Amino acid sequence: MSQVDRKAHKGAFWRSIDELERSPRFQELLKNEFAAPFEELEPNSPGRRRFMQVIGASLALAGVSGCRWQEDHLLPQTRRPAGTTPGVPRSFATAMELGGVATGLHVTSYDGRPIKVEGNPAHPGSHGACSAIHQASVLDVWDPDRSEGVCTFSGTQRTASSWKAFEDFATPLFAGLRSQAGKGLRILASESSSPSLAALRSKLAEAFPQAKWVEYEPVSQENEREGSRLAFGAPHRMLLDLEKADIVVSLDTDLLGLHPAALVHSRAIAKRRTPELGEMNRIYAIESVFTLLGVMADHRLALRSELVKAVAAALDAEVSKLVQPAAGFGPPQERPAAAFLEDAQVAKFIAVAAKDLVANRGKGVVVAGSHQPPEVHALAHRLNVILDNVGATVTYVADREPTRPTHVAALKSLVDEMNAGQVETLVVLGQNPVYSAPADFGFGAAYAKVKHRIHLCGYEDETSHASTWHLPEAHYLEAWGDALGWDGTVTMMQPLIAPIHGGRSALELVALISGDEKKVGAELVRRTHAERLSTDKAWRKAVHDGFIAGSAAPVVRPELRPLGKLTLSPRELGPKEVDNGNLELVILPDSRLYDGRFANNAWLQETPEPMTKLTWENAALLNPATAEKLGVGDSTLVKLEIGGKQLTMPAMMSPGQAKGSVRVVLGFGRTTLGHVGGLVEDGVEPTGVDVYQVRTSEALHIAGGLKVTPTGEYYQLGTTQDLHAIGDIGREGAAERIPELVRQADYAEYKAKPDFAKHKVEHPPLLSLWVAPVSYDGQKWGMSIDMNRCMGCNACMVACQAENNIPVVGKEQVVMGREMHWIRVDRYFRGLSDEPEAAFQPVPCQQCENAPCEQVCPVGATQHSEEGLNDMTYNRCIGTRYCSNNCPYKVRRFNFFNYHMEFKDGKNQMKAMSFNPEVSVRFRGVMEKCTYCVQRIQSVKIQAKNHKRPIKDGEIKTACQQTCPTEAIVFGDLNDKASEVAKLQAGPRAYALLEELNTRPRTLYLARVRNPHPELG
Amino acid sequence: MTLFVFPRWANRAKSVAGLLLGGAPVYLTALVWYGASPKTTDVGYQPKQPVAYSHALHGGELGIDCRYCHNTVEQAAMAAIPPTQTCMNCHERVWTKSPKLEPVRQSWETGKSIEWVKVHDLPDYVYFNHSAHVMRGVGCVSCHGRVDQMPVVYQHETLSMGWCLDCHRAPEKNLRPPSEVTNMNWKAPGDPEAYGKKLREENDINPPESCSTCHR
Repeated sequence: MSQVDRKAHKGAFWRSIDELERSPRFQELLKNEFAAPFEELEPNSPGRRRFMQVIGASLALAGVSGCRWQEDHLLPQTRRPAGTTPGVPRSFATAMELGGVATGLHVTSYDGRPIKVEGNPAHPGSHGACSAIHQASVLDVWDPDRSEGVCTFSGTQRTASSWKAFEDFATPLFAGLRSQAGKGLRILASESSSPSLAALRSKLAEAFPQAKWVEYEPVSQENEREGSRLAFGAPHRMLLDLEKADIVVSLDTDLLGLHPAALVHSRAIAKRRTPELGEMNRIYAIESVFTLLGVMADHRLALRSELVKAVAAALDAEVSKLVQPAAGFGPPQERPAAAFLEDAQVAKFIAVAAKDLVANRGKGVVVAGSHQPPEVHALAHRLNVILDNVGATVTYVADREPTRPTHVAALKSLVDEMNAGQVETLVVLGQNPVYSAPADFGFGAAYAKVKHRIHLCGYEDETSHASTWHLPEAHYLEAWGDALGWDGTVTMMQPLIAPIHGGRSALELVALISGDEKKVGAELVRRTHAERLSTDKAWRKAVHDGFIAGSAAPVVRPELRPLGKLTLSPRELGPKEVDNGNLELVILPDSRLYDGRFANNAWLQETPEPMTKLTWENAALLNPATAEKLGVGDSTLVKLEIGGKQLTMPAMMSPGQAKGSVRVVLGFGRTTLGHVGGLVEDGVEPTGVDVYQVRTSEALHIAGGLKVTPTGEYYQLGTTQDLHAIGDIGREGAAERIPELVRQADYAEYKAKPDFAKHKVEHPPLLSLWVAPVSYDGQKWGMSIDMNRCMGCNACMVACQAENNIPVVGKEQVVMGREMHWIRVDRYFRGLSDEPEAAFQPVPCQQCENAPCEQVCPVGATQHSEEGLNDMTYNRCIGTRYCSNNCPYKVRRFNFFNYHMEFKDGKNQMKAMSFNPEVSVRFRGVMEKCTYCVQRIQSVKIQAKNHKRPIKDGEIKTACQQTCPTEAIVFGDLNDKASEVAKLQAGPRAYALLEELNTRPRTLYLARVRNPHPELG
Repeated sequence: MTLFVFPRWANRAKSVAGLLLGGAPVYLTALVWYGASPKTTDVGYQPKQPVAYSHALHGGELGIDCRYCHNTVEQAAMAAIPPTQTCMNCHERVWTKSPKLEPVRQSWETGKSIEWVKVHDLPDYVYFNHSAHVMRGVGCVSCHGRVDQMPVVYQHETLSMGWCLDCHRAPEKNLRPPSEVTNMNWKAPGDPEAYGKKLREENDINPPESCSTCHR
């Protein structure tokens, strides 16, 4: 960074360090707008093979099947079920459980095939939104790598088997165990809140009193749980009402990212980030890694995660001084004697945040991150109690199982028992502990000592290969089930399709083990709720709605206990800057692959990580200043050494990462999974690096004493951040333009001049050489994207991919700038490169009225519709790419290859089932782009006209809009002046991207407004 | 070595060859023009169906309304092929022993679909919606011809894009009151053109011509 004139960049937005530094690599990229020419790609290079292995299924014969010579058949059902119409999609309520928390979903079924996931608008955990992971989960149903049947393993010998054989084996085994009261039987399960599973567990406990049930999740809310135990004496779950919160103080948390209630949080917080709707909230984020909340925050303090404990203590000291809490709450923490706390910037930050919290008593929230130790959570609870936030913005519900040990403790005792030879039969339900258990447990070696190792899982994975029996698990869209939402709402799950590979759910397997008289999932679930849903009607309503209304857990008000003086280790006291060998390693779940269970999902693999824009891999993130100090170059391999273990992985400079802190994510480096995530025995190398190798039970998330050794070896990272550079006149032009693309003002400025964004660019009157081709008498579709609401979560990208049959291209193609996402989320930084602000900007096709693409197409493949859409006619396209060249927004995507080629052969044919039949599948050599989901527009238009009624505002939702957790995207008819989008576009914050080019885009952006505290400025 | 000399008849052959060479492009163009046009390839397409079902008998002689079997035509994109159940509604009682109905009875017993051969087969990139046309008063006969006179259904129109656009640009001649869409013998009262214009205005029919109307 030394050559960078830091002052010159204060206040301006930029995209990447390369761009900021004008590195030769960036210059190369700018010169070559479409990245490497495609001759450079060897047709049979390993890279190309990977992309062939990648998802792809397409109707490869789509173009041919119209010819007469191919005979098509029509196969009507012999009996058409009541209420079904062939070719008309239907939607069913179900839910996905992740880490014991259910999110209500609506899943679209097309002639019996689940093809699209949306949020359940009535479910309190969804409000109609869903995350990228939910969106992508439907692809797993059609994954040809899924486990196809029961098999046995003996050494490396795999033998196909059947459920019948397993039952023949299991019946005497469990009967024998029953006669010994379950001695030597252990069950290792994922965390689940399913009432049905709980009922089966208690039956199991009766039949096998000496058996033990162990719950383990590599990624969990255990620290929160233990923190509430410290604060209240018993574990509680904290529910936030962020709509009421004027002040949010985040202690290293990502409320909007992978938090189980992220959808609820984002919907609520977005309402407080919309100045038109009322006073804005103010967010303070103290964190090591740039989180989505950190991007939205008005003030962000980048500190190593290990220092946050001292900050929390100082905050308690500061706040307690101002509010004088009741004596019963115990003495406040003393301000820790840490030098870094006296740093002017840090001290002021804490003082102002404390002052703001006190000034807004009962209207604030203090919340700690799930990777912070329990003490920090306890302090957050204490702060909320003494600030009277409890009962207003914060409520509590009691934990379901207050006495259970923590996941890690339970797994540790299981491993000890296995090593001691006390476990004869271990049933693993869904988890993959051979891959994901803490490295110091030696799970694999201990597991081998168990005689009967039975593994239920959707894939034949690392643990399956170490087991004696592998049983295929039904996907959640194939199984009956139930689970609790974050607030305890009883949520029902119904299958959308019968198990394709004969899989069974964990519920059914436990019923089998416990010798239950009911064997089928539906009956098991129905029996659990027999009391509450006694009539057929009530049962059907619950299944139809997807949850039982009013079943949320009762809100309790736990008593705060005095918290003793916290002990802070020397590491936790600073200093602010640490040397190599003393660095901090922060281990987090990946925002897409979670703990690794979604690693075979190509949509998620190719979704760029929000801040780094990395696809297909993970990297060690370092602050640029730290990297410079360590002599680590961007995109080079580094050796990470910690606790006697080491790992070599690529390093990436990440502006905003705390100095002295290195972030890595879990979930990558799968060796035994499938052709997307990695399957070494088939020659498919893993994507990314397995970080579990250095993750120990003492330091699950934050580890000290890290040594980073640069190797200097260059490594090509699969990032999209420099692709699609807007403007081709070099860095100056781009730097000049970025503030015009992302328009931002402070709240005070906004109040004084709400239409500040409209005056950012001065241009002469815009006249066109062209006569407007259409008059737009009927509907005039438009979109608005609120930059103040967008939090960069990527849900829109995956929703678009699922809706529009967008192919995945693989890392090598991504590096060449050929990713196919119709909507991308640009990430800009602003300010100094070590402590910048950031902003997200989703960019789909702007549907220009005066579209540059239309004017240059030699074959008329892109045409203006009567409603103002830039229609793309794939069959006319001959692939000149003139349109993409002429598009100033760089939103057009070209099919350089037939990305659906391998779809034709055998197993892969199943992938075609995931396609949306309402959208054409594109072939090689064809340009494509966002259509405003024209298939959804047409479907509603036809129905409305059939019934001779007008289209209601909000009736047509684009896929990105429907899933957006913050409702940042609004779509509708601009000719209807009462429509929401027309009002937003007429509002003061609306502006067009590159309006000076006179493209007259139909998509307008609403400018960002920050709400800084006057004292922090 | 003696030089090769073309025989005298080669002079005449030269002009014939010239004619052939000159005529070939014209001939080839004409051949492709005619041979590959939907008029040649598609119109009259009449595949053999697994069941000798006669529309002429059921729709024509017996006068069963089209919508008795194709009952989704007013709500959905597809005018669904009826399930075997629809056949059996009558044929459980009528012609229960007919050998012609053997495949139907088999399908009913085994639950396996009858594999009908698709006659009107649009390319996969075309999204045609039956309900949008039927509800506006475009008669079945306009696109499918006199199905009530077809013992075995064949394709009556080209179903080409140009043919679609002809009607989208001037729908008047194919409009009728929506209640009459399945009536094969319907005739416009008075001047058909004027009557179509009136219906168009009454029912607010403005067929779009944008690409995305049919291609998505």
